[in-house]
Amino acid sequence: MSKGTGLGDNFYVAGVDVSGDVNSLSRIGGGLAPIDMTDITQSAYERQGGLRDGAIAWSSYFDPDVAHPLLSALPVTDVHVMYCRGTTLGNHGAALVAKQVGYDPARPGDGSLLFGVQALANRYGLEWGRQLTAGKRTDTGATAGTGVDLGTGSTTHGLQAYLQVFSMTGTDATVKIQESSDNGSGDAWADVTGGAFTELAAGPAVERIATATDLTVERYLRAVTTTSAGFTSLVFALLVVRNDTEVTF
Amino acid sequence: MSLNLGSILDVLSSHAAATGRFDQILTHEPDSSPQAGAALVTAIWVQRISPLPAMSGLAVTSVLVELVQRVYAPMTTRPADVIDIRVTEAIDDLLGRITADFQLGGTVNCVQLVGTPNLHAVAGYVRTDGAVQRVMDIAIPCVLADQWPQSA
Repeated sequence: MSKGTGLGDNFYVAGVDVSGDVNSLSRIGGGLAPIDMTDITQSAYERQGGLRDGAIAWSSYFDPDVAHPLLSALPVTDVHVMYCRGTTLGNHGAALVAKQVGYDPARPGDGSLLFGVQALANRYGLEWGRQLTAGKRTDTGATAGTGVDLGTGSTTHGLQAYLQVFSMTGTDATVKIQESSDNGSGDAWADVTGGAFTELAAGPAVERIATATDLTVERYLRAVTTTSAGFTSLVFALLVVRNDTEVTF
Repeated sequence: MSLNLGSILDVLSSHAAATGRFDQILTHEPDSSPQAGAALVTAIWVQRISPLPAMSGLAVTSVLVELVQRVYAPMTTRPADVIDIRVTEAIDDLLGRITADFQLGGTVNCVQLVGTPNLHAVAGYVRTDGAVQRVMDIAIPCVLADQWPQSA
């Protein structure tokens, strides 16, 4: 894999796949807001990291069946947003727990109709991770997904994960993350401590989880689904962020 | 998904027929001189198919299908002064009908009436089989959303 484009991307909002209704993403931003600490003896700026932030801004088409009912609600509660750079297993992506700000249409003279939407981070900032599902994954029963190689060796700073559930048919389903040091060939897959999402009964649903910040996380991760009373369809997407350094939120 | 070009041509042919101005309505670009007696001939064909960034989603390409509808009038018509009047009246009629049905009976998302490119007509001459025809071409840019899903 060499240099790539943004073709074939996906974008999910609150358990709804709005990819086809997004014209463009004008900003996927994050990181720390720098605090200027320059004193009068210095000849260059000195800055320290301030508050973590994040935002995703996009242009949405008017789609009365998909995007409009979702975005026009202008919820005051948190909205989970996920950007998938392509939809191949292990691809990169960004996720955000945010407040939706605006759903503002522009109707210029050429007759087009585009809505400007922003998602501004709430609490966690923007997090880049890897897709443990190839975009959206559909399970028709308990399923063990394919492992994703997150890079040589284990890390010792835990992980965060974002789940978007688009639909579910059945009684119960649980999505969880498993780990192995060698993709299960010698080191059997085992549940990541703190890596299970809340049991699902219906979709759409969203959740962000975080393990202990000092948790050792193995090289390979996969998404598995389990059930006790059964389900016949579960469509979901999972993005995981394995921390290389200690992260504080 | 399918561009369903046949249905689009059918709708445009119906609009042309409804004007009652044409001897012949062709759904291809003729390679011989159309037989235009006292009346007019029109031909419709697809000129260009291209992606449309302004209507494409993150993982799906929308398509702009540009059709041409040409109205022919023989230059042997007399008096010659009526040629352009008859052609432009036909063009005006067609543009009005397409505008009043900018989804072409539901076969396209819209005809791009005022965007870029837009619905417009250009006059000219065509020489075929030694005969000169006064022509006017209507460019009909049709938007068809979400036609080609993108996948690596």
